[in-house]
Amino acid sequence: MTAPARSRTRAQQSTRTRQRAKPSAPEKAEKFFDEREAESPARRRSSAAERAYARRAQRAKEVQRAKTPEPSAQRVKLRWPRSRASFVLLLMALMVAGVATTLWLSTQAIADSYRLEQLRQDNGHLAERAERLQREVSTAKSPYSLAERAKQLGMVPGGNPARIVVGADGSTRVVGEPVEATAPAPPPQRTPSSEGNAGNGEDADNADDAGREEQRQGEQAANEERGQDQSRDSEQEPADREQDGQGGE
Amino acid sequence: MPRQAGPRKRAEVTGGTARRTYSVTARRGGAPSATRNIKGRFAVGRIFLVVLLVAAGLKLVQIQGFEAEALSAKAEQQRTTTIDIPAQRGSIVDRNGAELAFSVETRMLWANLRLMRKTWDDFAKQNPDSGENYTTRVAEIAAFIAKKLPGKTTEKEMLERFHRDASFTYLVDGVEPSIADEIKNEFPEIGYEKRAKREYPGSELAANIVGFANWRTEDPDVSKHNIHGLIGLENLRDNDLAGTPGQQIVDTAQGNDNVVIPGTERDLQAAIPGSDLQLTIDSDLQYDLQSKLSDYVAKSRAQGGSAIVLDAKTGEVYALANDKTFNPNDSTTFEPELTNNTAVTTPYEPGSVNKIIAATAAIDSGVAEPDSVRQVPGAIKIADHTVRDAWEHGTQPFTTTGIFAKSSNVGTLMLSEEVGPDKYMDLLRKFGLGQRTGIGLPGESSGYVPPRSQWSGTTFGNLPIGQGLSMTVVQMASMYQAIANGGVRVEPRIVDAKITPEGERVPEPAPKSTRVVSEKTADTVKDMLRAVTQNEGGNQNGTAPAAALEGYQISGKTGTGQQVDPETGAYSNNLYNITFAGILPADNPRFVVGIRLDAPDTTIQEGSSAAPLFHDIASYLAQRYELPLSDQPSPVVTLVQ
Repeated sequence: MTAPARSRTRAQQSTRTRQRAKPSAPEKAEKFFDEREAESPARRRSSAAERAYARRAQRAKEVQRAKTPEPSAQRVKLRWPRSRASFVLLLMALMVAGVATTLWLSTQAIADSYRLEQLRQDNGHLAERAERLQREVSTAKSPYSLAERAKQLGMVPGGNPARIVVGADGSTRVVGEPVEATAPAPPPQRTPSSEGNAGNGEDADNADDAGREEQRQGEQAANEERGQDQSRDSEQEPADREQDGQGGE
Repeated sequence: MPRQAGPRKRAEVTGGTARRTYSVTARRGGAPSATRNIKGRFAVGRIFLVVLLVAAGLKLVQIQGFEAEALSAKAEQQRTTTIDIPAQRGSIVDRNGAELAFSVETRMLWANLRLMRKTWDDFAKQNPDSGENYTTRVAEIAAFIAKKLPGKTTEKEMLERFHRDASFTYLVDGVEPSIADEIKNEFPEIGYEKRAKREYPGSELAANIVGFANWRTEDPDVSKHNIHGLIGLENLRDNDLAGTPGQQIVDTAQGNDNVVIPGTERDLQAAIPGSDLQLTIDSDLQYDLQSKLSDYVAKSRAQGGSAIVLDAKTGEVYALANDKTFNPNDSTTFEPELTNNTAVTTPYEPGSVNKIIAATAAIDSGVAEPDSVRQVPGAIKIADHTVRDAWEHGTQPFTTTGIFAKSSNVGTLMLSEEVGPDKYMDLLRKFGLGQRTGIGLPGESSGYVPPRSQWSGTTFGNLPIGQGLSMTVVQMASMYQAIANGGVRVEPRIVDAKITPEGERVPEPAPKSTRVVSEKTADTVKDMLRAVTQNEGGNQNGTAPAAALEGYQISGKTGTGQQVDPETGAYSNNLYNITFAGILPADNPRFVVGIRLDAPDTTIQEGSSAAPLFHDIASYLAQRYELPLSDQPSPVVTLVQ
């Protein structure tokens, strides 16, 4: 980036030197020629040499005239490098800005992707925490844990509630007999009320007969004839119990 | 270029004027050598550049043309990372949305033992003074992991794994992601793979229904590893629940596969999460049923038991329990007898519960009215064999209601004879016996009904009283559901709906409903069976006063079915199926309950009837669902005149 700057100064310097040289050079040259001309009579050059000198002087003049910038051209030339420099400057500035922006953006993107990774990690941890909490909550509110907790707090199953029925006229009647809930016997966990109810079902062991009657698929028939009688014997037990229960009435 | 114009011009100018100032000879002598020098340099430079260009061109052609694919593949491999995106498995929830099963993300830790050994052996060789080697390192790691994962593993177990004679070992599964990260940060040689774990917050709650799923690694393609079901609905509905794992390719920063270069993510296959399943189960009721049943089974000294609660109108299964089941969070309980969902897989001979078919047939065909009277003797001869009632009695005048309320075998067979086997079998089919209910659980049995072609003379003396055919507790309850629902049997269902990942609720196909009998017949039978719980003393007692629930009309039927003794192949004298099926409340049915006890001790009160268990379940149902009381108690009817 510094190269154009250097070339620019050099160009300016060169123009400057040329400008400075401009007023002096023709003077010097004239003086030079004057001296030579002044000398020439003394040296007594041949005519051919004279002509050659003259041609040389002529050429030198032409060259000098061609090289000496005219005022208008000089202005253009002065302006041109200057505007070119500013153009280059402008381009350079744009380029620097572009490069800087690109760098900045890609740095940002990379930084963002690290940030993203961090956030993903945080998110993962939070999701994990949510999962853990969800697990704890659903375990805690599952009936098993609730029953366990209730037992620890000394709660017992309520059993059969009594119900108050409110009639259309506002009268009330109580259905059922409210009984105090008591802790069930430790190993079998039962509602106390069911035992209470079993009281009126003394004859609940009317164990029903059911198809205790021997049954067979046709082909089993012979084989089962024996088992049939046995099974009939066994039926007597529930039947007897039932008779007992009914006998009480 | 423009900036070169100035100096060049100047060179011409100065060169021109300067040279002219020198003598011609000097100019002639000097100029050619300088030009030659410059020309030579140009030539060398040009040749050098051309050679350089040609070399570069050739290399370019080689790289772009011949090695392009290999190199770009290598580059791709260096910068890309394939990320497996796990598919979240759907949850299983009960009818109120309480979760019965859901998945959580976990990590499985592993170690590359061969690499670790090599690294630490080298290290020990290079730094013999440090005192560190493979053994000390793994001891350190094992201690750290054991400290971080109390309860999941022990230092001893870790050391055993580290000192295995293998090049690779898994260390511990089910590690929480954050703890796995911590371990990996501390010991970079420990790696992990993403897994997921199925959580069953209710443990044994509804385990027989929900089943069990775990992480499966059978597939050779690691990216397809996923949770799959082994037992129960997790297995049967795996396609709905599982979802499909996806894959994504990303470019990552060197050395850290987690730092994704922005904008480089591209999907190979998107992960599709699984759907949730909503069951018709109510987990509170399910818990209550499970605990009541297992208590009662223990009390009655039965070998087992099953119970079901159905919605009387829709056939939805509110609860389905076996006396014992496995705990999906404890793999030591995965024994065949515990994982078997006997309520649907194991049919049994139901006994008198099956008399509901004879009762319905008799009422429907008009051979009897609830109060019509028959002279029922104590025994009846069917073909070559005699069927007796369960208790000795002479010929007595039984009402139809009395025949069923007191469960008279003889009376039932008399009525069945009047109805005839064709009508009876037609009704039996309509009640769904011998066919699967399609409840939506794996391994459902259809039970067994002997086809007409295989009937012997005694078959029709057995079927009406519930022997010689078998059914599951689901089929048994389904028969009573038909009666409770005005004669229309709606097949029971346990899965209510599928909820897609988008949140759309897709109801299961509607269950098939069958009209079994007319509404009038069904209501008559239902009212008739209220007498089963009648407790008027003497001959006017039903078989199950213990099933009665104060304030509610209960309709139901007891049953005692003989089991086949596995040793003799004949009916056993002491092994019975004690059953009960009931409708609550009978005047406005809401629930149907079916219970089966497998071979209880019939010599004790609890073992001879399941009625007390029905009472307890009904009592809970009435409270939980705030069932309104029946307007009046069941009317007292005459059973035996």
